[in-house]
Amino acid sequence: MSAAPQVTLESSDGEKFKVDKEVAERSVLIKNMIEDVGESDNPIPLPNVNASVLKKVLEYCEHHRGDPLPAADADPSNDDNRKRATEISDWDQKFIQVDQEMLFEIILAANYMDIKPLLDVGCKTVANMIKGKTPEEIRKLFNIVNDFTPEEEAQIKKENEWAEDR
Amino acid sequence: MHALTTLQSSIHYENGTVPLKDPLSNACHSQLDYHITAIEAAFAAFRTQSDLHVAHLKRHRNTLAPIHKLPTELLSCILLLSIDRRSYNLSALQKLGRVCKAWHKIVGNTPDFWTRIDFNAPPHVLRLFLQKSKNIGLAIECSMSSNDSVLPSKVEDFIEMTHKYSSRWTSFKYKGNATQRIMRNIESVGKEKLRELSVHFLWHYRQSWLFNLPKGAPLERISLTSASLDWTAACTSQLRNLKSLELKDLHMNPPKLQRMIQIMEASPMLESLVLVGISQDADDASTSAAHGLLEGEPIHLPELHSLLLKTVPLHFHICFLGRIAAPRCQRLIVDAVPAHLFNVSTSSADADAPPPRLFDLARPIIRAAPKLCISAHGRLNHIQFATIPEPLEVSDSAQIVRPGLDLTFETDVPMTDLQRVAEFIGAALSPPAVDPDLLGVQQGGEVVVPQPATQVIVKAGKTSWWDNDQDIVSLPPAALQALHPYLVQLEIGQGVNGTDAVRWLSQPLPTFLLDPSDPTTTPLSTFGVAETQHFDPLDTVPGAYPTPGGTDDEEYPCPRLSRVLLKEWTGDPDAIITFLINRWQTRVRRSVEVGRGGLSEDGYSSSGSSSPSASISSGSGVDSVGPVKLDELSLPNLIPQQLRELYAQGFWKTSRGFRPRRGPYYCPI
Repeated sequence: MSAAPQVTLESSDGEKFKVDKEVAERSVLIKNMIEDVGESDNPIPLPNVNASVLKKVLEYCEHHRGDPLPAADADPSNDDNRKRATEISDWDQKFIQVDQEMLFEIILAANYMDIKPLLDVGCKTVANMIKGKTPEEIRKLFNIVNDFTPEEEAQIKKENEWAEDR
Repeated sequence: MHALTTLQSSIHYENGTVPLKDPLSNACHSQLDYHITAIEAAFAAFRTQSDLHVAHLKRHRNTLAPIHKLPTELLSCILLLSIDRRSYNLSALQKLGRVCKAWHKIVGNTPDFWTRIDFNAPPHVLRLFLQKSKNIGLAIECSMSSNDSVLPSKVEDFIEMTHKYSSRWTSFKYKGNATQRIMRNIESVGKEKLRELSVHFLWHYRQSWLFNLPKGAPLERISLTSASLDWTAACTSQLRNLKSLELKDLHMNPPKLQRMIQIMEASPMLESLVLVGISQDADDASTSAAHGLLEGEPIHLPELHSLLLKTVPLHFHICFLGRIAAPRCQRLIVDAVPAHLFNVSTSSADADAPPPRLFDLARPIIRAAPKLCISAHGRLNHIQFATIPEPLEVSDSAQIVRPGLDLTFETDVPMTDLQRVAEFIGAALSPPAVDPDLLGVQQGGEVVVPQPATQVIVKAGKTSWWDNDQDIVSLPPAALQALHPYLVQLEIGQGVNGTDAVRWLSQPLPTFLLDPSDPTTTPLSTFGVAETQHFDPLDTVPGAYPTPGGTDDEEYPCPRLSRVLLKEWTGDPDAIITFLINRWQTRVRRSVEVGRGGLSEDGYSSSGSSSPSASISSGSGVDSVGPVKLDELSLPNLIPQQLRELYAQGFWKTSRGFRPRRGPYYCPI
């Protein structure tokens, strides 16, 4: 039995990862790249993804290697698609339990490498973190400060009261 | 910095470095007023400028927050996901907008946040949403319940107001009364963008009114409840993008089978087909049979993943299950129609052939689908479980029951039929390749099948009122043995004698499993179990009983059972309470729920609680392993005598229920 074809990916910090082509092709970016330039021994550079993030992304791709690929034209605004996106499997939940820095790096990498299911998991995880929290709690969570001037704040308050009271 | 300089110079004046010419003159007052005003103005300017500088610095600081590494489009997408967009939800938008300037800008300037146009929103909010959504598609929703006393004219005004923007409608959901004005407005919405149409008429002024699909709209999802289409006018050419079709409660002017076939053939993208409550047209069955619609070429629906047929005419079942070719079907829910009702001939070639049965017909779907959840609905208390175990012969089971397949039997069948289901499962599980983790069995009530299933839930008994003489379930040995390792929940429903239930739960295995009058019963030794061994399906404590040998897992075959629910039992409640106390106090399982109802013959009145259930649960959660000491017992509907019994056994009542007594004995009664 012949071994599965493999490709080499190179992270922004020069680390090389040899993975099964099937795993790497969970990324539409890499899939298109391989289709365009053909298979070669040269590593595929991923200048926007560092080694630690790429390792994590590949862990995801490896676990989901057999999953059906999402439709390319899936409309994220569609309720069903959104619902599908909101359902995070147990494994994915555990996978995405990382610090914020890594979480956002994974989302960026998934966006760059065009891995829609991973992007969905990441976005949904952050959305879940936001749900049900007050503005102050959200600021605290994401290390954001209130950057409105008093005038702006007064204006927002006025607008909100207008919307609520009438 | 200018403001700061002005302020400094003003303060310099205030310190008296500018000499006053005549301290008592009016001019002097004016001069002082002038300086005061100047200082105040300068200070205000300074405040403004400093606020701006601080805000600027804070904004710069915020750009360094990890979340703001994300591009605006992604952040916007995340914020959209974080809010419930089923309604207009202005407060959620306001909340997000108050976090920081960047978020305020995203929420305010992204039209996607403002596309829900809801009838329940005040008019000025509606205008705000219409304005902020700019020119993108709108999701219009106008829903009310049958109890809402909304003037029809108000609804009509809303529809007409939003109708001005109908070229932007992408989705329209209406639930309310049908008036001709409303229907005509819906029919004439814009042709370009409308992809989703959901119409649920609660009440018709005239039931004969027929409803037309908006002509030319590229519909992807159609849901009609009590809204009869003019099926003759329905244009199949506009259904080529249709992904979901839901038709419910169509009793007036139900679609004919031929029309349904045309619709399916015109919708190759169909992913979900739901037909519930379709009335039988007087002649349609015979006409369809005569035209050979019940058999024939397959109807190819390559994308169909869900097919639900519930209380629809039998010939629909026969045609759909027999003709639809759906290799991607993952969910098949059909009426559990008894076999003898299949008297509509589908084959004239062999008149003596037995009539087809649902699962016979559905075999092409079942076999082709790599992952499928089958549910059978039906009130089958008088009918044998004809359509499920019989056609699924053992030889077929290995093909049909396989990893990735969830079997859900959602029925109200008598427990004897549950036994047949269990037999079927037991047989199906025999091939070692089959993963029983993927099986769910349920009887009555709502579906509780994990996706993917990792456990077996057996619900015996019933929750329906019409069947009162059921015995405790007796699962056949093969099925029981097969299920034991995976059994995590056992639910005993109405009709089960509670005393029997307790006996069953604590009975030794031989008595429980073996029916001496039945010569076909498999001896226990077949399963490697000594006949003298006690079987306690609730036992999670290996070693708690004398063991004749072997590993703990073999001896205590339900190691994962963590939840037992006795709902609305009849019989002697004291026996159950005693059982619970004696057996569960020291070796309590993760959760026990005891509901009570139908106990009036014992002198116990129902509390009228809508959910007469109680629970014993541990703080360790259902996933914990090993013995768990009883932490909490909640039995809200017990009579004083039972309460006293509990108190006497060392429980005390807290706001959350009963807890084991850990201090001085306390009995409030």
